[in-house]
Amino acid sequence: MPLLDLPAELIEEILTHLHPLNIVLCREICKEVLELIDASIEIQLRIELAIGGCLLGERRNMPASELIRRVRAREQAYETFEPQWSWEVERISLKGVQQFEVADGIWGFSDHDGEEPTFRRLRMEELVSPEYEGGRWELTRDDLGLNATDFAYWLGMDALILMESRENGDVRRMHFRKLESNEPHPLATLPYMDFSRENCEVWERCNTISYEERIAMVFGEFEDDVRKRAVIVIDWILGRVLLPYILASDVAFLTKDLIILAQNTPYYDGFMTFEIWSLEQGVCLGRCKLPLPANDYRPGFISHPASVHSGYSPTKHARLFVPDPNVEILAIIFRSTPSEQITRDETITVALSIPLFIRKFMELTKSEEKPDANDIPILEWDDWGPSVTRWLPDGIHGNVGIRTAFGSRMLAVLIIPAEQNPNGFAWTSIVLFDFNPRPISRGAVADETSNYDLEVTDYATEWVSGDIKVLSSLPYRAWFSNRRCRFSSFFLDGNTIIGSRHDKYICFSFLPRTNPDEEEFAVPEREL
Amino acid sequence: MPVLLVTSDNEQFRVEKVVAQRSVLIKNMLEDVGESDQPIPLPNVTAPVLKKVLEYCDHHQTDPLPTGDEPSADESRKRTTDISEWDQKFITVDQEMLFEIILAANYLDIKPLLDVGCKTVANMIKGKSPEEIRKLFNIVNDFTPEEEAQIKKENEWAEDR
Repeated sequence: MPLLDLPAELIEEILTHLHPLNIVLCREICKEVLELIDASIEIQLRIELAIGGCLLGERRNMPASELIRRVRAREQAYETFEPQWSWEVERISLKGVQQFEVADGIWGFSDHDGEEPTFRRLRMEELVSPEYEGGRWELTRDDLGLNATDFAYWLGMDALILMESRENGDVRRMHFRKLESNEPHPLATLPYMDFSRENCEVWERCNTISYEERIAMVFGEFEDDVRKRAVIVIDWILGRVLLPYILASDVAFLTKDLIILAQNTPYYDGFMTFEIWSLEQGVCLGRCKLPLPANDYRPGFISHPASVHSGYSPTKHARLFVPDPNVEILAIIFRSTPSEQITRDETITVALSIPLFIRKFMELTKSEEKPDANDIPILEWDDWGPSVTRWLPDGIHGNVGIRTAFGSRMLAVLIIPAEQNPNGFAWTSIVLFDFNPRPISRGAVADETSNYDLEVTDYATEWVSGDIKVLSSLPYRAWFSNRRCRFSSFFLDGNTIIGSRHDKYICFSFLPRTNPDEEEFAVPEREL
Repeated sequence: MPVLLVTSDNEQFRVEKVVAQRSVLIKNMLEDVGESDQPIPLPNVTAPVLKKVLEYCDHHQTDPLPTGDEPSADESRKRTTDISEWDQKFITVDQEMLFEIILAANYLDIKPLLDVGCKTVANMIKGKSPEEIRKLFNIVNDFTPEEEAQIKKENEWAEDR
């Protein structure tokens, strides 16, 4: 029996297991398949989502026709930079080290007594207007039964990770719990893991970032104004350390297996480097040189927790669309360190395409001749960098919060100093970047409205500072808001921008307003 | 208690109820007829295919049954990870049998088996050029050169991205 003798719905079923872009290419097979693909709403839904840089998440029982309506409405909202609704969240902790997380369509934050570093409460909210019926969780210190200092979660697996400081801070205990019941997570080999300060040079603050069951712990402290950081990576299902304690300026997950470590120790002709490690193999696969002197800049990553492959999430709205890893970016911030060479305070914002970088890196490290198996390949910037990164122009500051890159998008602000503004005052406005190349290759063009200027940059640009010239060409679109920014910092998830004010947070959602019966609850439209 | 299944080519299979019930179709039929030792006719499945399908059901007889539309976290994890080693070996069959299994799994309503079959075909398609796909599945290119050029142009944005 030939493949095409299967009933159309089964061929459709087979195709839905492919990446949507792969399905598009199947249109070239023959007329029957072309017609089937173009007529299938299930497949068109996936293709339209993929154009917008997303994959289909947890759809519940929502029919394809309703989903495609929402996909288009969401896309329209992003294309016109017009959030569909907004709501406010009261700021409960005004002081101290509050911890935040945005993942799985859920925003989590801690509440503290004064400047106490441990949580009084932990709150998690699905990123939908409170009038809609979304998920809400609140756990007090008594519920948790411990003094937590940081948290992470993977709601697709009902997993809540809590950091506890013990023995006067000499031991850090990481707990693996079920969010719903607060019991040890049944998939975790160990209910908790302990980490001891012994022999650890940097230990003071510890933050976590997760990629499904993998957790990176980032320790940080300042010593004479010099920031030092160290990293440990674990797998909580296996209950094992995958990357033992290592000094690094910052860490981010590229995939579940590959992590990137920023090193600003001047080993290689004085240049800063990125190290790529495989967690499965436990080895450094290569080092990538950056065109910046190691002593003059301090690198940091802006990424987000990832749980791309979890189909199940307790959210009702926000997990419909998940970012497609094939267009994901990692944002990198380089901050100048005061020195004789650099007197001005400089922040460089760079976007790196994760899939393009990995492809390039694998290609280059494969061809690299290794005389000794222990030799780690060192890649020159000109070979690996220009085509997979974009160095954003001066005036763009991506350093506006801890989680401001999500999927292919990134939030930043444009700063125009008073002396450069014809009106004579300093101006700060929001800029939304999208590094998804698909709309650009489908012909998206620049635009101007009363609300924003949309720029399309698909050519190489040169970033210059003193003697340093950097060419880069990762395509992007940027929406420059015409309004003044009134927020001190931001968070970004797949569908939402959260702006922080001194007394509250304002959430702007790009998800469509849904049930008309719920319109009476609608919060008045608000300008972003 | 064993159940008697009769294929389209009139062969009889006596299997344990717990194995047969991996098929939602059979499960519903058994519930409808209640306690009865009447044979269940399966007019859309031949003996060689049913034998293969029952091999799958036997191996997976202790898996939790799908409970409706909300999979548990653990099921979802299984669903999204790749095909298991046993399933991989099980589904290594010729194209003819693979499509027959997909048809039977669809008819008998055995969702996990349908998924394994469809994923396997999808994996065969993944990363191949349209020409390679046509060759693999014996499909005739019925486009005129002009039509083909037009579709290629429409598809350009999706290439290598």
